[in-house]
Formats: sequence, C-alpha cells, structure tokens
Amino acid sequence: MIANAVRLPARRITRPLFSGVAGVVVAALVMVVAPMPALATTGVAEPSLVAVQAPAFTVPDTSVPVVETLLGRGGPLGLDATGGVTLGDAREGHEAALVRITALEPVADVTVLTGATGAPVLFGPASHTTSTVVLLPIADGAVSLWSDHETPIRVEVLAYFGGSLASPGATKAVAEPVRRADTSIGLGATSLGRGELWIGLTGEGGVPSTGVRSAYVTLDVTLAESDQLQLSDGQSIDLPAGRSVVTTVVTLDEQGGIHANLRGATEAISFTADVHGWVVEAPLDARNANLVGSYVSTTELNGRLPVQLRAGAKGTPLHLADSRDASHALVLVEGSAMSAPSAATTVQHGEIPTGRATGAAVDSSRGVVPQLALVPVAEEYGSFSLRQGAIELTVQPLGSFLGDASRERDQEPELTIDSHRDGDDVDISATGFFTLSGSAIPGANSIDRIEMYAFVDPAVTLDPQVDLDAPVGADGSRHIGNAQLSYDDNHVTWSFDAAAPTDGTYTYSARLIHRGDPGSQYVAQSVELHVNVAAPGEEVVSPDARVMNMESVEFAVDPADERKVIFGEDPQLLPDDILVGGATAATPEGFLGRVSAINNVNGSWIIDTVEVQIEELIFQADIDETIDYVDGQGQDGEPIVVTSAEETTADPESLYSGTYAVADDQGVFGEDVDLETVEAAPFAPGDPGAELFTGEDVDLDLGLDDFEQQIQDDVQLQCITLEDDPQEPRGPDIDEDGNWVTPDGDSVPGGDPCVQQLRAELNRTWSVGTDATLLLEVKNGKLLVKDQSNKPEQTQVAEKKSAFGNKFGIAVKASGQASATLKFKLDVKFKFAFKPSNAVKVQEFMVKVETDLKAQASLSMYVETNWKLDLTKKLGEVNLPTLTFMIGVVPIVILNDFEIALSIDAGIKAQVDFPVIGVSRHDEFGFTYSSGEGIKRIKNPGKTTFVNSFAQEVDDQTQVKLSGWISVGPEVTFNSRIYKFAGPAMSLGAGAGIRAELKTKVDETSPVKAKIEIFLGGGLKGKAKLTLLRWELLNVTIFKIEWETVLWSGEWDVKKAKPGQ
Amino acid sequence: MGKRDQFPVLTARKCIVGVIGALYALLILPFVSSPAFAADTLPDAPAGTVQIWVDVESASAKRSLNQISLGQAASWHDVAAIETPFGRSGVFAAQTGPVNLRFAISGALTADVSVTYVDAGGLVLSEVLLRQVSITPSLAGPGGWIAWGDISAAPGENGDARPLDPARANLVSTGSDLSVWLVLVGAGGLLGGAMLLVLRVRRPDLVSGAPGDSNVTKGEGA
Repeated sequence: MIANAVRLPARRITRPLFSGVAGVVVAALVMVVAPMPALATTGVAEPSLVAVQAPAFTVPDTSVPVVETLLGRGGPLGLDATGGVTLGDAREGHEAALVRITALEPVADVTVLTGATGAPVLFGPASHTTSTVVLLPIADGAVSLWSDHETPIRVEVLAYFGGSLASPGATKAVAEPVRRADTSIGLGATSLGRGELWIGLTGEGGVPSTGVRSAYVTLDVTLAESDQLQLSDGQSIDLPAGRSVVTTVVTLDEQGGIHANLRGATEAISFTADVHGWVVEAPLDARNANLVGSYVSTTELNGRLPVQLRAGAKGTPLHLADSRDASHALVLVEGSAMSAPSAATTVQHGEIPTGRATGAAVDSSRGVVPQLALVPVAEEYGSFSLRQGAIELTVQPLGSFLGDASRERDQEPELTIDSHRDGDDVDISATGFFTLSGSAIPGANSIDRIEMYAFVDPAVTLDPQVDLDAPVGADGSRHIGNAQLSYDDNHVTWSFDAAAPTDGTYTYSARLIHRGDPGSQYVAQSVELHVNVAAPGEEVVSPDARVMNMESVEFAVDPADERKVIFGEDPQLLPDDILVGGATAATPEGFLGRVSAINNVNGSWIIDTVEVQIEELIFQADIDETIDYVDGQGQDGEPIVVTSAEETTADPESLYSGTYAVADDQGVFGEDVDLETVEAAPFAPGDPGAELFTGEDVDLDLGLDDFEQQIQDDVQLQCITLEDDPQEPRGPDIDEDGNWVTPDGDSVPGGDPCVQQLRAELNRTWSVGTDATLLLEVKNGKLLVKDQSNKPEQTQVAEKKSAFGNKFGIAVKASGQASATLKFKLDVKFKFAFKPSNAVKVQEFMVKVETDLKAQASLSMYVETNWKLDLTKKLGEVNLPTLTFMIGVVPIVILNDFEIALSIDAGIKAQVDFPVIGVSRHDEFGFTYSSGEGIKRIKNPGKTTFVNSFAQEVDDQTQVKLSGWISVGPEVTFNSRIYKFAGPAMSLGAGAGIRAELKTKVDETSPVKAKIEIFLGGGLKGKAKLTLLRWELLNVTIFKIEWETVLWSGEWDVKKAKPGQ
Repeated sequence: MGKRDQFPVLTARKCIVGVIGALYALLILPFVSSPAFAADTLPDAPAGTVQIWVDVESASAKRSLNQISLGQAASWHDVAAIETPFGRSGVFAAQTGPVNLRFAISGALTADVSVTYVDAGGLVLSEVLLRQVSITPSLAGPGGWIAWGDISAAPGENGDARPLDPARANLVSTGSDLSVWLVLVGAGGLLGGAMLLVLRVRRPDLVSGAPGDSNVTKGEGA
C-alpha cells in the first residue's frame, strides 16, 4: 500500500500530457506467479471476448526465383503500371507477399516501382547489383512490379501472408502505396535534416487509425553526402551519397507516426515515405493477442549488431528474436563493401551456405544496401554466412514471426501497472470510465493475453440486473475482459478501459498469460482503487473528447473538405480522439469528428476526421429545449438573418424549378417537360423578396386587413380546426418509408369551426415575410416564367395583356409570412458495469418544428387548352442564430435554417380571375426516436383559416371558362443540424387551392355559376440524414406525403369584370 | 566395493561425457573433418526434375568458364555459360535419372559450384554445393572438357548435399546419400563414444586429476 496516493485523471494516461505521471515508479504491488485456477474449478465464466484467427504466414519451400531474367526464367519487368510478376502456387490463399528484388548489374540507373502511382521500391545504380525486400499485395496471383527501363532482374518470394482484422499480428499490404512524406510538397516537412520531422503513417489508404502494431515503410532518400538516417523507433540506417530506396518495418508512436532525422549536418536533397503495409494489433478483448504466424515487434533487442562475415567461416549465431516461440526474425541488414574486389555474392541465412547464391545481394564495392531479411531462428538465435570474400554486416532486429510455443520456462514474463497506485481515488463521474495501463515484458514465450479481473468490496451492493455481465468466480473475481497490447521499440504496453457499477472500492487485477502456458500459469498485478461514478442526473461525456475552439481559435476547417481541420501547431491529438469544436469565428458551426489521420504539411497539422456516433461521445445527458428566437434574436442577441434568394446566387434562373405538360384536343396530357425558360426578375437590393418582421409587423393569421379594401366586402374568412379530420395525415399513420397509410374506418371530412381569438402572432415575436409577382406565358411553344416582382405595375399589366393575346397567361401575385419554433430533446442515459459497453441508451431524441404560415395570392388566367404545371420559386433563406448547449465540458452546437419558396400547382383550362385566395395555418411536425422504440413521426395540423373568395371575368371581352384546379402557397424547408454535418431536413408546403368547374348556363340572362372547392394542398417531405446521430434512423425518410384537405365546397356566381380590366 | 574399485571412473558424470563424445562425433565431426563432397557422387535427378541449374560463382569463373555441358541419357547438351553478377550459369532441361556434368574453361578458376534440381513449378527438389572448387586446364580431358568427377572442393571448405523437404522422402532417395552417411557416421560416433568409455575404464591415466575425478574435459578430443 502506498501512502500519499497520486490521484490521476480519468483520461487515458498514455497521452503525453500525463506521461510524466504515468511514468511514476510502479507501486509496490504484489506480484504473483501462481498456478492459474482452472476455470472449471473456480467457476469464473469468461466475459464476451473477441474471437480471433491465426494469421497466415507461409515460408514457401525452397524454389528458384520466380523471375531470373539472365537465365531465361520469367520475362523482364514491364515498363508501366500494368507490369506484374506472377507468383508461385504457394500464393493460393494469401493476400500479400514479402518479395526480394535484385537488380543485376543494370547498364543504367534503374528504379523498380509498384502500383498505379509508381511508388519506388528499389533503386539500382548502373553496373552494381542491388537487392531489396518489399511487401506487396497479391492481386490475381501476381504482384505489381515495373521498372523505368528494361534491366536484368531477379524476383524471389520470401513469405506469403494472409489474415483479417481479427488476426492478431497479421501482415497486411495496402492495395496502393500511401505517400505520407514528400519534402518537395511539404508533406511531412519541407526538408529532412538534423531536426526531426514527423511522418503520420496510419489512417490513410486502408491503414486503420488505430490497432496498428507496425508499418512497412519505403523511404526514398537522396543525399549529397553519406549520412545516417535515424528513426524514432530506434533504427538507424547508413545511407551513401546519392539515391537510396530502403524498405523497413517501424513501430509507431502514439500519434500513429514516426520521427525521422539525419545524424549529420546535411539536408536531404529529396525525401519521400510510402506506407506499403501494416501489422494488425489484437483488438480490445481479443481472446488471444498472439498466435502462430503473428508478427511481434522486438522490444528487448535494440540497436545495431555488427558481425564479421567471411567466406568459409561459420556464421556466428546472433540473438535476433525476443522469445523462443519465434520461428523467423525480421531484421534490417546492411553491409560494407567487400574487402577485396570480387564478383557479387549473397548473404545467406544459416551457419554455412547451401545451394545456389540467393539472399541479400553483396555488391563488391557498394556492399549490402539496407534491406529487410527474413531469418529462420531457433531458440531466439539465427546466423548469417557469406559465400565469397569478407564484409562487415550490421543487423538490426525488428521483430519476429511466431511458431509453436516453447515449453522452456527459464524466463518468466513480467507485468506492471503504471497508471494507478494502490489506494488512488478515481473520479469517473464526468467521464464514465478510466484507463488502466502498464507494461509487460514477455518471457520465454510471447504474450498470449492479459486478462483483466475485478474484485468487488463486499460492502458494495450491486444491481443484479445490470452488474453481472462479468459473472463471479469462486475466488470472488470477475473476468471483465482482456487488455489491448501496444508494441513500441522498448516496451509492450497494455491498456484497458475500466469502469465501476457504483461508488465503492474495487481491486482491479491484470494477469499475463504467455503462449507457453496458455492455461495454467499467470503473472499478476493488482491495484485497489476507490471509484466515484456518476449519479443519475450528472452529465457524462467520453474522456476521449478533446474540446477546443472555446475561448480562442485553435483550429480551422479546411474549406475544401469539411472533415479536415487545420492546426498551426501540433495539437497532440491521438488517433481515435473525438475532436469537439465550439462555435467560434473559425468554426461558426462548431465541429465534431473522430481523428483518423494526422499529417504535417508545410508546418501545419492537418487532421482528418470521421463521423462520430453520439453515444460514443455523450454517455449521459438530458437536454430539453425549446428554441424560439424571441424578437428575431438568438443567444447573445445574435439576429436572424434573412437573405433574399436573388442574393444567394449568381444565377437567378436556378431559383426556379418545375415541370409542365400540355393536353391535346382529347384532354390527354403529353409528357412532363422540365421548366427551362425563365426570365428572372431584375434584382433590386432595396426591395427584398424576403425580410424579417418583428413586433407589430408580425402578422401570421389571415384577416380581412390582408386584402384590398375594395374587395373586402366580397370575401369571407373561415376558421376550422383539422385535428380530427381524416383528410389530414397524422404521425402514426405514416409508414416506415414515410408514406401515408390512410386509416380504415368511415370518417366524415370537415373540420370543426374555430374562432379567430387565438391569433398566431400573439405567440410569435418574429416572422419572415415574402412577396412575389410571376407571369407564366408561352414563348416559342415553351413555358416561360417571367418574374415581375420589381417591375412597375404598368409593365406588369402590359406584359399580362400580351400573354393573354397569345392565348396563354397566368398572372400570380403572392405574399405571405412564416415563423417557426424548434423543440429539441436529447435524453441519453448509460449504465456501465466494469467497462464501457454499448449500454448507452437513447431515452428520447426529438426534433419537432412548429410552423405558422400565412399565404395569400391573386390569380388571373387565360389558358385556352388544358395545362398542368408544378412550379417552385425560391424566395429566401433564413439563417437562425447558432445555439450552443453544454454537456459537461462538451459544447453541442445546433444550427437551424430554413428556405422559403413559392409553389404553384395547377391542372387547368381557364379564362377567369380569382382576385384572392388565401390560407393561414399552424402545423407541428418532426420525429422522436428512442433506443427501445425506434422512430415515431410527429405530424399534427393546427388551426387553419382560409378565405372564401369569388371568381370574376378576366375582362369584359373574354368569355369566362373554368375547369380544373390551381393552388398557390408557401413551401418551407427546415434544416436542423448538430454541428455542421447532420440533422433532419424537413419541408412543409401549404398551398391555398381552388378547384372549379363552370356550370352550364340555363339561359343567356342567367348568371354564370361555378362549382367551387376550396382546398389546402399540403406536402410534407423530410429525411433524417443523421450522419452524426448514426442510430438506426440513419438516412430514414421521415415524410414523403402529399395530401389535400377540402376546406369548403359550394357554388359561386362569377362576377363581372371591373372597369379597366 | 570390488566392482566400483575395478571401474573407478565409470560414474554417471563420465557416462554423460561419453554420450557427449558420441554426439560430438555424430553432429560435429562430419563438418570439420570430412573431405569435400565427393564430386563423383553427383546425385541422380529425382523424380519430377524438369530442369537442372548449374551455377559457378566467382570472379574467376566470370573470366574463364566458357561452356557447361549436361550429360543425360547417353548424350551431352552443351551450352555457353551465361555471365551473371555472381559468376556464370547454365540452365538445362532434364529428366529423372543419372546426371553428369562437364566444363570447358579458358583458364584456371576457383568457384563455388552448385547444381540445383528443379521441378516444373520451380521447386528445388535437391541441390548440391561444392565450395571453392579448383578447375584448372590440367584437368581437361578429351575435347578439352573437364569432367565432374575430376573436380573437387578445396580441403577445409564445407561441402554440402542437401535433400529438401523430408516429407518428400521418395525424391530424397534419388538425391544424395547424406542420410545413409549420417547414419554411418552416427553409428561410428556412438561406437567412438562407447570406445571412449572403454578407454576411460582401461586407461584412467589419460584422465587428468586424481583417480576417480570426474573431470574428463581433456578426454573429449580422443
């Protein structure tokens, strides 16, 4: 037990910020080497572990090279990216190959390349023999290899690989090499010199962000003079003056990359780094971390081993592998020039050479260029031999491939817990879990797994319903999972995200089981911790959240890629961190993303991110907010910004869309034609098509004062509620695809009358008003939409008469107002037992919009043949101020905006005026989601007011004709987004419509009568593109409905035209 | 104590020493004291052989080796030796059965000579390596050819005949006689070990230290 316990933050301690604390001397914990209680006797049931499969690692039987052009085996490499080399039969069932390529005294400098992009893998100077070893993907039985000119070549396969992401230690080749450093474009750095540059290696081109044990990297370096390249994983590579292409295998730092520098004072003339492959790390809770065929990075053997090789002398056994279960070591070799001029030869594996000369090429004057070698080992040792002459070979062990476990027990493994000390208080009330971590030293065998156990203080009362996911063994232990391993150049570290079901004292124990004793022995360490967990009402967010851009701007979003953010300095972010940005000038919409790749480009740190599921970020929160922009303002007085549609585009014609069709003499319509002829209105900045109203100007209920005085006597207003009207779709009647399923039963259409005492504007402090005047006419046989909004009235009348003279014209004057309120509810709760799990439940997630719309229009029509058309003109954009909720330290940034459009829908043949049609209406729509019940639609109609108008002759010359229907009204598309990426988009249209048919006149003197229906044409479309909130409702169509509610039907007398028309 | 007095050095430790001696004879002696691989024992081509690759590796081979000729089925197939960075080589179509080789040179050379038996898939069925073979004009016979049987590896160099893949025992049987040779040497080694024990019994004076001392390190070289 340690006095003066250090309290550590719950954040995982491997972050550099905490590394100093993490490195504190390991507590005097009890180390146990004890027989492992057999599971059958202790009754410790296993937790749900991740099943794993052994990776494929096959060293083919000794063969002659697959290509040896000088001896007529195989052809020369192709000279473009279509070039490939077919491998031997042993390739079957494998996905990648480790291949040695030898350029045999080319007549001119040659570069061997791979992949469509031509990534270099070998540089062979003229007149020298140069070999290298590279990892290549197998496609259609071949590997991609080509050269910049034809040259004698030898290609040998050293090993084949296969395996999935569930194969710990599997070697994977990427389909195309991934360039991660290129000083010519500033990627990684602008130069390679004495100062360290950092190269990100993960997260791009198929290499995952995390779970990478090692990476295969090819470095292309050109130096003015010889120097030594140093890598932060401990490798150092001697390079001659001129160009060198070197492939090696590196272990990665926490950021998923590696530092590189030159030892001398020179700067490289050029430098690139390509990732060719990677090694799979065992996932968290993997049943085994290493199996036969796994590649294990070396942690105990570091540095350069020099060895003198002389033809005829037996090779000295060298210590090349960490453990006795290694069958082959992967090493980096480089060798001096030969002591005397000679023919080229090879370095072979084993104490004495056998067979013909194969292996790393030894050029008489250039020696062995740095390259990988796969060396058979026994009991951790392997040896090299030389066929001709003498050289000094330098060997750097990098890792080993595992064979069968050794029964040798002379070396016990070791284990430490570094993250916490006995007696520490651990507060996870705001974070949900904490990370236990430590280091491990394999013994005679590699690590099979590190099991994690929890012992619960008897005083703690557990809830049997939720806390028993890890059953209790006879010794009181609960096997709560298996730790994740991480290999660096000096250590194997392990980590495990742990939690506790309730406040109390717990003992967490780590047990290391090595491959030689997979079921009987373990080495253990324990730590007793006092854990404080979150109370039910507390807000809990993941400790992986990294909150920035709150008080000051730390990063900006790449304008070309909304998933990419740019830092001026190394933000010390780690792959898989959740980056959360507040709403600032640089990120006005906030930011949310999980770090996937990190690059340094010209001194800036470019972070690629991917989407985050909200339950990964928020474990517990309860937000219930009504977002109403009082007096047209948001938080901090930020105003609603209304922009006329014309101001949002340089192409005003793009604001119009629609289709039309014309019927023949028989009344049969032809095909729909896209609207393509538009004459946009001349833009007048001082005369907006959409503007913000506040205070007294807010007028959302249709009233007599909305109409010109001279017609007020002719109109009647009616108010009805439609809550029980079967003509109106409701949320529960809408199916999974968003379609309205009409309920069974006999229902009588028609709403109940209401009185206009609850005027909408009493509840609204702001609205957006719109105004539009359109003339539809025919020009050259096509429908032309002419926007007359900013034209003088005289011009409008003249243009209308001209259109009517051409036998087709529909003149529309429309105006209206709209306002909206958003209700947002997010109720998330979690219950972790001993580790984070998927026990985060969404109790309720709701987005509900309440709208008030008012629209009025006048129509004048001269349509001789039957036309049908569907036209929308965008009127304005309304940007509602950004809102920020805080959940713990994490800002949740919500953005809302909507667009207002005017929609005209008609199928009509008419020569008549409708001086006024209009409707105002309250609607409520949206959805609610919960983990248990999925998605439910919300759609409720509110009070509807409409005008009962009249029909009138177009003029005193034209005989009235009327057949068909027309509706005009606003369409509001509401977008709600959380950060900038996601959120439901819903659009509501509510048009006031008239369907009419002239009745046959009884005689010439009788009045012209029309049978009339006044209806509301409704449309509701909505999709939840919840790329952020990636539950089951991802990309769900919430609404896809159109409906028509008849508000009134009856008969009108057609009035005479007023003088002057 | 009569028997014990009669054989004072036959203790458990000395038995171990004897076994070590036997193992030494079995495993080590063949490599340090055997003559070079006898050139006249060029193995037959094993079943499945479709090619034989001959590599003569050294700078002098590059200079002086002109032709390589493979003899099978009572006929010789001559090829011009192809220059490679390692020396000179020839690749021959071949079949199962006895094989003979001969060389034509323009001057003396010393080289590693390897003979590789290859199947249709490129798999090496068997291979022979003679280290540091001297091939001189004086060895030339009729037509200027130097027969395989007339060349040999230099003393002290490692000769090796390596059958591959013990699982393919039927193929190995047509290759070198290494396994038989090992058995013989092993048997000899065991016999040597046994003799060593006997020698210890009969000549305790060869053992350093006092009678009965189990330190027999000097006796291991016997």
